[in-house]
Amino acid sequence: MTTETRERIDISMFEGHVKPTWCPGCGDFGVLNAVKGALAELGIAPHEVLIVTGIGCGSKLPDYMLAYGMLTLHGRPLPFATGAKLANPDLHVIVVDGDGDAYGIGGNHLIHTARRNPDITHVVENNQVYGLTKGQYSPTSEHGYVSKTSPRGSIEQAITPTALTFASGAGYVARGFAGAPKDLASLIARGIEHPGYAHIDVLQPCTTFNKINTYDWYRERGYESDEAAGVSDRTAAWDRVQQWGDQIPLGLLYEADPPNPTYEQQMAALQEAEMNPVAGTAEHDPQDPRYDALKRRLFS
Amino acid sequence: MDYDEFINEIRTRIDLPAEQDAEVVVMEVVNALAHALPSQECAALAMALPGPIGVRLAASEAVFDPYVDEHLFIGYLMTEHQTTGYWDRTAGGDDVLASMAAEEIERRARAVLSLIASAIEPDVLETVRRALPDVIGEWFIGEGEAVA
Amino acid sequence: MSILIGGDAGQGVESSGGGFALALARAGLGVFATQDYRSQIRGGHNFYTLRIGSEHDVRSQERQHHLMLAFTPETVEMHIDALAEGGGVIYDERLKIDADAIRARGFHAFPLPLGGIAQEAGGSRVMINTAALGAAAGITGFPTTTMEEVTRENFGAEIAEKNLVVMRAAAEMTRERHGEEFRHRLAAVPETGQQLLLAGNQAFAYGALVAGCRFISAYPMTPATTILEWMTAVDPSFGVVTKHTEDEIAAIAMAVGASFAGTRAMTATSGGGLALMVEAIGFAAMTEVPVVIVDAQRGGPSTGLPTRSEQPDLQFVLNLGHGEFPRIVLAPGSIGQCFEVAWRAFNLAEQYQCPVMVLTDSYLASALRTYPADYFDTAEVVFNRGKIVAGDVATPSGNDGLYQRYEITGDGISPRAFPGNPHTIHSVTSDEHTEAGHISEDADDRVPMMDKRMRKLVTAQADIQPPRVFGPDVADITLVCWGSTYMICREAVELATGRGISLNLLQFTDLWPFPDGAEAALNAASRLVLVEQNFTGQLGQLIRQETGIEITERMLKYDGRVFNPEDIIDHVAGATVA
Repeated sequence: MTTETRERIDISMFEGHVKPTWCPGCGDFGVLNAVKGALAELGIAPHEVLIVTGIGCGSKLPDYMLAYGMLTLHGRPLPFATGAKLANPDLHVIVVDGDGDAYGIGGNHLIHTARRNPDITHVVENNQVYGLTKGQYSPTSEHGYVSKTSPRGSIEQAITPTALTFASGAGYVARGFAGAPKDLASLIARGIEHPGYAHIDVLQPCTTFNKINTYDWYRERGYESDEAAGVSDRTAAWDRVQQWGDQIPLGLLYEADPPNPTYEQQMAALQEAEMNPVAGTAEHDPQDPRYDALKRRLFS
Repeated sequence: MDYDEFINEIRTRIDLPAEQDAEVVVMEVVNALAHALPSQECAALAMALPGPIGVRLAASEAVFDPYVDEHLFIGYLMTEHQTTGYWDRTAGGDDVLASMAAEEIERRARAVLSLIASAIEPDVLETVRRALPDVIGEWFIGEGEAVA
Repeated sequence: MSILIGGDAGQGVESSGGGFALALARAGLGVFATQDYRSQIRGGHNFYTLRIGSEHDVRSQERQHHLMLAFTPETVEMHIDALAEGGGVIYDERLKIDADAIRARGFHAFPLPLGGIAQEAGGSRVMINTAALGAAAGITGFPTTTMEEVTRENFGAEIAEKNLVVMRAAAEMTRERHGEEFRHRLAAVPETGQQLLLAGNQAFAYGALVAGCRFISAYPMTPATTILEWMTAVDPSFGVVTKHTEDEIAAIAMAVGASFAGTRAMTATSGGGLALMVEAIGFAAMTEVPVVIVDAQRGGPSTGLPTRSEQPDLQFVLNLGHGEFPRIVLAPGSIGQCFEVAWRAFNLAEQYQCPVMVLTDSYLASALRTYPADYFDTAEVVFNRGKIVAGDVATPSGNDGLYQRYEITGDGISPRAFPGNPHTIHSVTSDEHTEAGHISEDADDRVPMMDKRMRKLVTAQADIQPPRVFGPDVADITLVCWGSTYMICREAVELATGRGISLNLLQFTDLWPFPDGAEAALNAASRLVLVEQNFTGQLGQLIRQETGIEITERMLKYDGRVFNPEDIIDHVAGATVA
């Protein structure tokens, strides 16, 4: 349990210019505050952040805060983010998207980004429904969930996303709750600090379309997972990341110790060059004699 | 003011069909306050509220969260609030009920909070308002400000 | 002369051919080499052709060949009809090939104990290829010096030495048995000096590097894969990030993400992969993030003919993507042009902040050609990034001193800023947006933004090159071509001159925006012949759409094989009908 603090960390520096169009009480507000809070806690300035999102209600987040943002395509924020991160590893890259985006159409990229391990923080707004398109069931909707596209109840099993990323090799797997944004901010902050891909699945209510998985529903089932029980123990973690139902573990479920090497750390082109790609292009001189020498060496 | 008077007053102000509906709204506001108020202010408020309401607040397991703002505050009120059933493509969310929810929920929050304000001592009220985000603090002020 | 090496897949036709090509280039000869292979690891006929000249500018293969190295009887059956007068066939004497039948047609048959030599001198039948190359050297009088050099570079020490023993033994035996019988001779040309030998993909990759590209993400797909592989093999100190992605969607997305961050980025694929990239290309255009995409075409549709060359994607590339957005389409026609188009593509992408698509094809991607060592001169490379906001300049423009990423400007181009700059914080979105980049559905935002994006193409027109004429300025017949058919048409123009046929060609390198001057050039011609490798005559369709000119005389080839220059000559001389 977090210790109570009266202090509200000043997140006004991240204040955006556009008013959110989210529904009243939407869990995305909690995610928004938590993201801002995490950045403020770490002392990261708005211009040092790139937030990459997909398509969905929650994916409009960058529009509502002050930071660099890319609102990309449904299911695809992870590769856009990876490209930006590899081009400029100095950027703090955060991906924010919903459960349909990350676990449905984006599933392939989820698996491969987890195993690739770029230093990216992935916050998934998991409300177990498709909100923007008005209430269809999602990959995390439970079996039997009634929705517009499952009027007799969903006949598919829900995936457990934390198990999926864990199995794909993620070195940081956590679950937060939008109704507890302070704890969520901590998880995001630690995820940002974690070198490598950090997956934070965020339980959040869709107050308009999902009257099953509400704030109270999540409150009743979520419990603080005990880190003392070995957050780096893979065997114990396997149980934690799979657990769902009447008891849903919240908090840091797994962190590799020592952390797995990141993609950038292992990439010769990033480690052995003087400049990252962005600087490399900026400083580029086509008449550098190295090119001519390379040409003669490789082509004759 | 005792509990039954409180509930009835809410029922009248918000124009709800049954007592039960008013109880739900009040308890969800209590839920939200439990998240938004630090424990000291929470305890002070709980002591000042009519019986079951105060008990509910005092017994809540919710933990104060400094990032709860006015948007998350009303999230609890949205739980039991009907948001679908009146289809209209020109409304956000394809539903007139959803698009009207924001105004309606704020009206309800104001109704409950302003009634609370009138039911407790001014110094308790001041302590509570200061410990909350500004926008929520404003909702304690008279119903005249409520959006029509 | 031309040499054809043929056999089953897995017999080493390509490695033999490639090694021989390099050896010839190092000996100072001009070389043009092509490969024909199947989408299989083992089995199935494939062949390699080497056209050799005394000057570097051997521009294409020719229809006939003079010497055949046959590793299978099928090779002889398939290619004997293309053997020139006085031509010969070298083969292992144990193969069931009828020497008499070959000789009856006036050709030389050279059965040799190639397998035996390989076994005896090298200890392995696998070295039969080396024996064949040695025999080829022996039969043509070509000194084995450079061949030996190449062999040493390609193999580990012990195997290399064995190969050399085999090569020399075969060359020796062939000289002894056949002396000067075979009248086509090959001699080194020491005056040539150092030459380069490279393929279209390599020329493009080198051009991208020299253009300042520091990021390539791609999914392996024949025939584009070697671009990614070449960039990956470049020394890490150059700092080029290369990424083999999980799929093509990730490939294009990463390139666009990297470009947004501020580097020059590209991806390379073929038609089927491009099909998966369409949505993200539209995203790049909507967000005005530069990106270069290479489509190395092959026979389609669907999986089509994976290892065979066609030009079937022009209309696809011109029209891909839902909605309307600016794009630039380029098509190099030769290996040399691949280099130039590469650095132009990156400049255009950044200047006009839109997708630039480069069309090549299987033939151009992998054909090898010699060039002088000082070709691909970096001195002629221009580096132009367009409008970029410098990192240390305080907010340049807009309301309330806020940076407007999509500022409406006269030329349609808004200054671009990169993440990390404290003065230019903004978001880009796939939705329609305001000048500041916020999502908007207002007509007052939509119309100016669409106008602005499309206006960039009007501005770009100044950088679009008109089609080029090769051959006499005025001719009876004008070939109209784009992409790799240029090489064949160019060679045809040379042949025509020699035969007194009045022929020139008009090559389109820039397809979109449609070049100014094209209409006038087409109208100036007397008789137009469209030469394309597709079914529908796609360049013809584009020309008609933009100018009203319909080219009725068309040479269209869609069998996955390229034209030969002689095919063109046959047509224009009236021997064959389109």
